[in-house]
Amino acid sequence: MTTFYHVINVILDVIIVYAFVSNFNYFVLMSLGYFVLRAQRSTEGSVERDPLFKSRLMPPISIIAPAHNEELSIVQSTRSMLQLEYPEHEVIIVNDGSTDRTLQLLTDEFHLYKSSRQPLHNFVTGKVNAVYESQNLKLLVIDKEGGGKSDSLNAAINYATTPLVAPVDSDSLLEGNSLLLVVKPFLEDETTVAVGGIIRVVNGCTVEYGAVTKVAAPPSLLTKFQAVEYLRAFLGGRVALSYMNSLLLISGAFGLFRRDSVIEAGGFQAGSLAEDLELVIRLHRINREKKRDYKIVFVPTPVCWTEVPDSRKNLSVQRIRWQRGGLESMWKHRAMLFNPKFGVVGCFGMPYLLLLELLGPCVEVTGYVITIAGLLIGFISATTALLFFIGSVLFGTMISISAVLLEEFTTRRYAHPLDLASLIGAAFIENFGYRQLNALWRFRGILEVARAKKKRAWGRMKRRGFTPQTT
Amino acid sequence: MKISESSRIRVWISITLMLGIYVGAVYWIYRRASGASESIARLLPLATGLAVVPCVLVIALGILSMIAKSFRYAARVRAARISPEIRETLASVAVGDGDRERLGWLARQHARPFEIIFTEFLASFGGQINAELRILAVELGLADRWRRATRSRNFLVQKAALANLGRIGQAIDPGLLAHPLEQTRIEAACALLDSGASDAPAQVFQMLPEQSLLGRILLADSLRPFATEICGRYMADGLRSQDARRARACVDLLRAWERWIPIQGFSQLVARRDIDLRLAALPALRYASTSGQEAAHEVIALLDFPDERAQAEAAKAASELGISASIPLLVSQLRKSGPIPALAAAKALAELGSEGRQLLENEIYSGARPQYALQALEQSLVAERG
Repeated sequence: MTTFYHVINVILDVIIVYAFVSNFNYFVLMSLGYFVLRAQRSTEGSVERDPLFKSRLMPPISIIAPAHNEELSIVQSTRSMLQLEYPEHEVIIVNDGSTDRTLQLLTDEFHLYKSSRQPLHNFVTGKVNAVYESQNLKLLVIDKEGGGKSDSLNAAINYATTPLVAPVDSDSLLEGNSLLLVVKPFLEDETTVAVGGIIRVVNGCTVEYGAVTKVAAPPSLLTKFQAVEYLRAFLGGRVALSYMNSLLLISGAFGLFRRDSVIEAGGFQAGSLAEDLELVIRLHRINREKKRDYKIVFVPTPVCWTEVPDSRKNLSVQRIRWQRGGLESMWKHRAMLFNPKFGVVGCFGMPYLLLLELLGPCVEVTGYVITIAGLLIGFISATTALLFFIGSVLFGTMISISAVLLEEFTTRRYAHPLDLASLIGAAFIENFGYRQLNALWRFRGILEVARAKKKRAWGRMKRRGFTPQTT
Repeated sequence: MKISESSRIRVWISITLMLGIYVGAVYWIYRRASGASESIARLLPLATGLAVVPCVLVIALGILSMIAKSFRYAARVRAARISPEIRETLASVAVGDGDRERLGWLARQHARPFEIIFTEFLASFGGQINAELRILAVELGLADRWRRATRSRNFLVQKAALANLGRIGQAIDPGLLAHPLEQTRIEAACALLDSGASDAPAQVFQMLPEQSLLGRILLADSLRPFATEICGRYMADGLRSQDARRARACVDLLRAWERWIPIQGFSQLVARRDIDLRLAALPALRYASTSGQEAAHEVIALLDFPDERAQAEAAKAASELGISASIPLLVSQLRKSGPIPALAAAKALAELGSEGRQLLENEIYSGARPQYALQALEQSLVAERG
């Protein structure tokens, strides 16, 4: 029995040390994010829309958006993409084996004709049934057999003609000036290979004619929690990681890549559940291996609005998929882990992602189980358990409130003080239930990877669409 | 997003300082708990204690920022209420029959909304009203405030101040043109051009090669009104320069302006340079060449160049310039080159009148690669139908 208690105590020590290291790391990243955002805030704002909008020197962009059964939002989001402020951009929608009216709606609304357009690259993808084009040649719709998101993105890259490609989710809304803002790092530094923008939660905002006209905090507690999570991930983590040039994730919902870099890397990995993460890791890997000077950057000003799941079921599916995708990508590039050849990416970015983000749920769930079991059996005192819980809640609250405050100190999108108050409230409440639930979903994702479940799907969530108001 | 070197140093100093304090706190708590016998009893207060300090700090910050937000909200409401009066009084004074005393009071009591509205007026009105506004800016102390603000570390403040000083024709500190932060250099250059200083175009033209593409785009736009002067006096020397960046900046200017200002021997000047510069100069041939023949010579030379990138760009230029002599080379490119130059050649043929289209039709029926011919012809017909 003594040996058993001894083992349990050692595990508890490990968990406490892990929790401390993990929270300390978040704290450091959040603080670094704050200082960097503050420095950037005092230097941003030089993007004059007019000169950039009319300049012939701006590199053309292809927006590529895979769509699978998106009849609720496809017309609105395509129109919003076509209306973006940018001197020269085309929109490529890939209808990936939709069984609803996605293709029909697009054809009718934009008066598409069946085109003879040829691919300029040869990534292997699912069979392309037909290609449709609008008469002003700004919109291209590729109708292909269902093959998943990566397959669709690769098909779009085959047809893209521009030096920059912007993969976006077809059910998201880009802000009018988002392309002008996201292209800025490419104009400032020619070694930039990829740039990510911020993803924000559209639930609760007012949407009119494909544009967010009034920003408000999400209505339900579940969506509020996710709004806080997005702020934490983007304004805290990614700003800091981008500053250290070890950003490993550019969200699939909105990014901008140099087309030839993506082609050199071999495109998006077919069948991957986290194709965005995997591609960025591969870009790091190739550029580091070839000892090139390169940059992968996150910018917090270009905004992509996305609808987040408002039911626990949809959210759990999404989180499990993210977790599996992350672990699979990490496994594929395990050679980079702790490998000094890959610089700060191999020695900090990758270990951070693996140990603190991807394996975190294992430790967290083990901690909960041992604490509850210890309390029941009696080998952990109530005071110790309470202290453990308070410490964890306090750190969690601190990190989440910091993220909301980062938003307030920098981009300040929520105009009403009550919105800020409700998000701060959510940042506190999420520690009592939501955080634990999230850890359980992610733990399930880890178990599924361990059991090598092969299921590959689009991981759809039921959406409400944007019209006339998203609440 | 680029930040200046000094900001970068400040970021690292701030984070090091903060971590120092944090690690100090760890050590202090560890020492306090070191008397405990069990490891868990030592570690828990450590972890909890470390959570409490920043948490209290962040919660305090949260409360403070909510208070600050409420104040800002109230200020916006107040500004919205006073704005009509500011506009009305300023408009009356600018046309010469308003209450200057009341305007002065508004400028002092509601400085922020007043400055915003004043700047809007400055940007919107020219002629006599603008002249009156310039005098008012000095009288009301705005010019002095803006001059001080050009030294601000906050770029947004600095930028607004520079733009406003330029609009009211006040001198700009020339040192700002060599500022370490590119954005400040650009804003200073734009303000200098706005201020009407006689040597401003030459000064700004000289600083072009040092700027990023973003900087060159913004400066090209500001230099647009001085295009004739720059092309006449400085452009040929710039293109001849041994400094590749200077030559590239000149080509970028011409491309950005898209104005028909011929430069003596433009094609020959660029033809001797490296391939990147030659390709960048292709779209400018249309505006800057003194004769069509001269431009055609360069385009045909590039169509024959053993580089697919060059062939694709040259095909595009051939269609823009309507060079019929390029047709045989384009047909050969369509048949033999890779997908990108082949498609570019097909598109060029489609734009080169009936001869080109006839050739494309022949390619569709009997050529080895009909797909590019078909696509080009189809797109050209669709574009024609509008």
